[in-house]
Amino acid sequence: VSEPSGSLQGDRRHELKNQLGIVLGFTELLLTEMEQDDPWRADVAEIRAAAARALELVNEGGQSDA
Amino acid sequence: MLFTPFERLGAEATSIEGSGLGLALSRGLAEAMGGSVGVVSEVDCGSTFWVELAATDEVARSEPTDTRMPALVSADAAGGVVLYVEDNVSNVRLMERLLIRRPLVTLLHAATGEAGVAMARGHKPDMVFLDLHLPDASGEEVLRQLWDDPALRGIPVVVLTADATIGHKSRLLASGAAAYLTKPLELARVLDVLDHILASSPASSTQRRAGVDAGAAQ
Repeated sequence: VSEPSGSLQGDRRHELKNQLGIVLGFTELLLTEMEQDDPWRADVAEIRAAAARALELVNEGGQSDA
Repeated sequence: MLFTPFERLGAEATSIEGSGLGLALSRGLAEAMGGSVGVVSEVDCGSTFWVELAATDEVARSEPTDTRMPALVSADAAGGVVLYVEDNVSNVRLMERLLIRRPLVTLLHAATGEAGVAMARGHKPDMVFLDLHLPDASGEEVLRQLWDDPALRGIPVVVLTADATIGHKSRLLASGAAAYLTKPLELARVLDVLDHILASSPASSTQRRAGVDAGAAQ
């Protein structure tokens, strides 16, 4: 059975989720440590939001071969 | 009159409760977004309320706010020794950084399943965080080895995995895992589980060791 195009296979998906989890975890930590008016806060929030969107894409890709 | 706060036309003739704020708030919100709200009404026929808002091609993104993250720091949360079995260095560092918020917790680390079981035997931690994806053994195998050793069976093991299925979860819990957390880890949840387990742990690690020694002496 061929993989649907755009889907990620098990180990790769697992590793990608792991890596995204690291980005999400560290940015979440940074956001907890930054003051509300920290000038870098919005930038860190962008990184975190992008990682969260990427994770959604990975999870969507995983549904077809689950 | 309809849009005036706290004015409810005909309120005295109905049992429906309300403050008379709905339309006033709706208009306020619409105007705050540069729009407007209005009504066209015909007696004995009905009313049409309308909202007018400017269209946009681009979605405005508001900065995410921290809703679930207080500082997470708790100086008086229970302490203890925690063993983290995980091969990914960044994940270990993330856990180290997170546990700075728990000054009474000592974190030990093992990068393989074999080292993890050996450290559990040597240090008798109060709990174990076990990643299921290890280079030398599956997390399930490590869980089984911990469970098979009577001296280690009582140590709560929290399994961490990115491969979350309901069947998988129930199988691991049936194999003796105390809890199951999915990756990416929700940091506040990690601390919740940690606090809960350490607080309900029958003893600190030193007391536990004393208990084991006393048992061996009998």
